[in-house]
Amino acid sequence: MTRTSFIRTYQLFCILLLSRLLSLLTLASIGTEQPSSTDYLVSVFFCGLFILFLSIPMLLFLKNYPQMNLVDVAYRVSPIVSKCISVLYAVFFSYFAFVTLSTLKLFVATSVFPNDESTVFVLICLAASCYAATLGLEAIGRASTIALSIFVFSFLFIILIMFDKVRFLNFTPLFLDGVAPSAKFGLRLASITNEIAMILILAPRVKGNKQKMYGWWLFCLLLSILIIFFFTFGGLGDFAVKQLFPVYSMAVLSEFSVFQRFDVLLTGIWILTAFLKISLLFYLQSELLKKSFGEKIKNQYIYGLGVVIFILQFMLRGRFSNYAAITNLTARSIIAFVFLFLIPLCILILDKLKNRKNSTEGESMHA
Amino acid sequence: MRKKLLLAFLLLLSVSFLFSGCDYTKNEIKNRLIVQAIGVDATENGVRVTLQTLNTDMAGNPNSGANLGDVISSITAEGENLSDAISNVSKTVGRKPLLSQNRLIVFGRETAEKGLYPFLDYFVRSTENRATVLLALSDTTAEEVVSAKMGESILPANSLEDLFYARRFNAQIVKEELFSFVNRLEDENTDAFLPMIKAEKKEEEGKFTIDSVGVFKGDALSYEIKDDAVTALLLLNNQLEGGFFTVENPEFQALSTAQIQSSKTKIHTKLEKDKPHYSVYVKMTIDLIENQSKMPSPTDKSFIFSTKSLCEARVGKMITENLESCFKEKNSDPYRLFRRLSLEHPFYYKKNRQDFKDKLPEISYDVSVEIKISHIGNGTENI
Repeated sequence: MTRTSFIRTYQLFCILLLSRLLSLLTLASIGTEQPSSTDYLVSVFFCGLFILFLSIPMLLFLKNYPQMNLVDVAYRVSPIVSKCISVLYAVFFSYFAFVTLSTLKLFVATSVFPNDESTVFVLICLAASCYAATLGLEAIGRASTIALSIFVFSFLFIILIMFDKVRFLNFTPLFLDGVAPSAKFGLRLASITNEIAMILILAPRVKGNKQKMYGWWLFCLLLSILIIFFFTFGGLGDFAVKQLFPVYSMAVLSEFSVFQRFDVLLTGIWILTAFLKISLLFYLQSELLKKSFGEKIKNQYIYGLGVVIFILQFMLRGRFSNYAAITNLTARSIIAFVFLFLIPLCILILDKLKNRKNSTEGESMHA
Repeated sequence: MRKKLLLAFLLLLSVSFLFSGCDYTKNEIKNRLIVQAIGVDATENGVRVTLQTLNTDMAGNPNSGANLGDVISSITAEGENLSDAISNVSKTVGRKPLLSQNRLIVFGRETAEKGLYPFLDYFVRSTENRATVLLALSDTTAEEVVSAKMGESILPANSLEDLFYARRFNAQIVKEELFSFVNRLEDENTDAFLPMIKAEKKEEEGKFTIDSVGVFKGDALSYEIKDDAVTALLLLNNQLEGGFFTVENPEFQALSTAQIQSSKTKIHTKLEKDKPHYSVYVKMTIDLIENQSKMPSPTDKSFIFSTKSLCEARVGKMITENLESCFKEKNSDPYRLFRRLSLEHPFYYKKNRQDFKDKLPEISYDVSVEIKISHIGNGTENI
């Protein structure tokens, strides 16, 4: 019999915030329409609205089934549906593990080791992530708490240095090209918020008030995005959007006295955060598959996914256009809508319908 | 437990092979061409690049006693574009240029007159190049500035960098970084500017001066400004950090020199009959450091107040004359005033963004200057 480990809400908060902030740091300006600098700040508002909309089914889940996750509720509908959901979400998390690693590799290959082969780096990162995933949710939760503290501390340091570098004239008039670019970018920011699906799966493993945790998480996330965008575009102006990784470029600007390379600090945090996020995604897909199909060899799903992702990375090597494909707004928006909103909502409705049918049958039999 | 220890040992062992620093890629510091300054000159067939590089043999063995040459050397190469020319440098020296330590990019006058866009992309795109690298123009060719030597143990790029930082005590020097210059170029109604370096040769050794500022229209160098016009440019861009100016006081028959301690410029925009009006307000703190007069030390109240008024009038006139010249004669806005207008009156901006340059002569403005005299040398303080 295996012991089920639990984490506290603050640990889940740290895991989710760290995971989502990584998506923000690695936000690359590939093949996307860029709004003007002030519109980036407004897009945070749109992002909040879209995230809230996508979170409706998840919040209903937390309210109606506090001790069950999506797969458990799907099992109440039908065991086959439950297995399908497990596979679908395992693929979903695997896809994001692949995207996270691809973006990290792109960053490493362009900014850290532009002249060297990054395959060794990918291999080490994958091996470390697989190992961390086998340690379980508690270990990832503890590590995330420490990593988030380092993240916040170093970002505060960079922001303090950036204070006198922000220029009012670096901002542009609001909605210069209409509302659409801001709204689109808000949608882009929301579409990479796969943390909603993480809550759907991890909820029963968390002790504490999850709705309250979610509220604080969303508030802290939007505030962090707003602050990071403010300093990035206030400091760098339109030059930021010319850079592959705008947030990283902001760190390049933060020079202070003899300390000239704060971007190195950000690089370290970035790699640490990516390692934790990939570990979490590996862990989630493994848990889902284990629940529905069992496990013959210990940690087979984790190491299996590690091998698959490494092969895929190897196939993608040197094909820049493929990165544009994985950052495509339409594709990401559809994926987000289906996995964060549509499937959970359908499961919720199906379960309610089944309950109603059962209770009607029960009443008629009783009568 | 043993397995874990073995794994930890193997991981540590792998670190010694995989993360062995520069040696891993055979890129030892002494084998790299550490670039300190880059000069760019357009040629008929492409571009000529001059790299000012560190003599790593000298830097690695400064006390060897052997004659290892000057601390810097310069290399010139040509190519179809910048990346081609820079990679052609390797053909001459057999080493790969390292741009991350680059301090300065200089463009030749002719190149700037033709337009800088074709030569900027490389620096914006290159991950090695820093967004905060300094940009400048050469009075002649970039090669002349970048290849100039200043003595065996002097780094010319260092000295040039120091020249730009002299704007803390000279009101006629501008400093422009890559990201800021690109932002100005991208701003459709703002004219970008760069400092102009003049290189003079005296007995085989070079001497640099920042003589003027080159103002662009689009990406091409259009005209030059000097002296008070540069101070006005700094004032209107709220970039004045320090410097000196002189005023003549006929009433006291004195010539007073003021040292700027601090300066802040606020510009407010309003629309008057659908035409922009700018209110420029300058708040400055100065020290009176010299009073050359026929009378002995005129430091009484009436002299100080009279000098204060004269200083205010001098700064006000400096700004007014240059605004007039830029808007009415040169049809140019290097002050980002239209950007201010766009932020304060976005609807007017959206309506007029295409033909704003035509409206420049119609712009009205008022200038007010408030000067506080902080010290008068060793005399009365904190008046």
